[in-house]
Amino acid sequence: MKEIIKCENLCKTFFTEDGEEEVLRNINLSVKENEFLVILGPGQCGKTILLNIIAGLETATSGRVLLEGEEVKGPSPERGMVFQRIALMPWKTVIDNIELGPRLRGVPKKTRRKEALELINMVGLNGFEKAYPHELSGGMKQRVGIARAYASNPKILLMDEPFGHLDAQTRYYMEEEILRIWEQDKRTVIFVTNNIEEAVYLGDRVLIMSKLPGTIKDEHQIPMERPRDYTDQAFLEYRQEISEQTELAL
Amino acid sequence: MNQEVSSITKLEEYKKSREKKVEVRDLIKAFDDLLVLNEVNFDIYDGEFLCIVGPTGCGKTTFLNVLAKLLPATEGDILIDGVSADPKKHNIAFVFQEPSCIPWQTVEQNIRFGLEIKRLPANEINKRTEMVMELIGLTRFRNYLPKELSSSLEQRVVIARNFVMQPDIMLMDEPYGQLDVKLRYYLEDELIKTWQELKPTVLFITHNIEEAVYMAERILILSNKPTTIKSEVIVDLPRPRNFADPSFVEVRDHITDLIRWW
Repeated sequence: MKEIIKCENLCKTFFTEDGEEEVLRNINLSVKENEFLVILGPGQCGKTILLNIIAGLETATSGRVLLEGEEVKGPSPERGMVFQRIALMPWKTVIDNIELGPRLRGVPKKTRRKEALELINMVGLNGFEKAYPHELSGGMKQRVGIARAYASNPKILLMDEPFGHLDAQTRYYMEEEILRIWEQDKRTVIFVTNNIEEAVYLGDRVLIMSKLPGTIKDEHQIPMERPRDYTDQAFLEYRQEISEQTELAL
Repeated sequence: MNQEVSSITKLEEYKKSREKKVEVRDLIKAFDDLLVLNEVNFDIYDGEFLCIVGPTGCGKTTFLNVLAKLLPATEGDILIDGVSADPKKHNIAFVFQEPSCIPWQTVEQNIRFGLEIKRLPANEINKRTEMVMELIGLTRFRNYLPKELSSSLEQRVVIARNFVMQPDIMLMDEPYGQLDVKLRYYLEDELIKTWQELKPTVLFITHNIEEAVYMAERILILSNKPTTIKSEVIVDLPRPRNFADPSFVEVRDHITDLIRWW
């Protein structure tokens, strides 16, 4: 399959008054078209920074990111982002939040409205088009976040612990939902999480990051068929194996 | 059928072998027309580790707040050692979801705070503080301020602060909700170890069924709103428990079936 994203020797060091802090060290990875890649790491291992560099929201100290062979030099609609803290515009309705990106890019009103309605249908928010973010539950807000990321018709979706703030049961529900949405309209996904169970449930492949400075320690293919069962013995074995390789971030 | 009978016998034996510490009687909580708790009845036994799980939005937090007397009950009563629960009389400890250390006090001062309010003798305060700090591994952080700690460490200070009070009951509202899984298991092991050492009565509320099965001696399963107790399960798996163990998975699946809405 075609390679979409490639990171070459990415390094990131922050220079502050208190000295230097090395956050990422020699990150090399590549993602194939329509692959669901999970990057798994403990708290504060630099995984969000890595995702931000791929998104073009942050610059690397050295190394580069290539999207279909071209170097990434800043954010672009080709890379849609789903944030942990969702960041919806509180004064805009669900549909206006989803339409915001296309509107700023000058997509005609009729086209963008039609597409937004399709996306609302896809993420299962029918009937909430005119609702404001404060009227929605955490899971529903994240559905808007996912629809908004799809609205720019990106080649690649970058998800930064999108379910980190949800309770355990809503998280299971949203994990099923994200796969349902992804199966309907496949994209390349890079999904960052600290949750081993979530990584095994979602990923075609799981990369394990070390503690600071973040490096990629290990890689697992998860060839299990979807939908996966959280308490299936093979599933639990993957979980245990990966758990042994992840570090404890006290 | 046989399995059902054996689980009922297990439940009866469990209850017979223990002393009642807290009795919750016909507890009702309504906000205007919205009935949240509908005649909740149960006992908590002395020194027990009880977990409560329920579907999202079932009123778990209201339930805990009423138990802690942070919210008044509409009807019904909570008895501790046979008398109506009273925060002035009883030691009711509370660990919230978000760490809640006093920001201008050091780790040690945070842990001593409650004991000083209760005016315990200085040597008793010293003894208990040292013991709990040692047990939870906080001794080397004693002079740190909360802002200098990671959130998991801060949550451990809160837990130490509660254990040190030797409370009548310790209420915990999903204290490890946002932490990564590996760290959560580490802290749960630490909590179980501390509980085994000091044996307070713990009521632990969580959304996470696996977490409940990992820790609890007994699990109460709540229904959707208006909340009642739907079922009750004894977890007599040996410790330390393993989430991949088939008998563990069986209990987890059973409880998941009872509350699954997603």
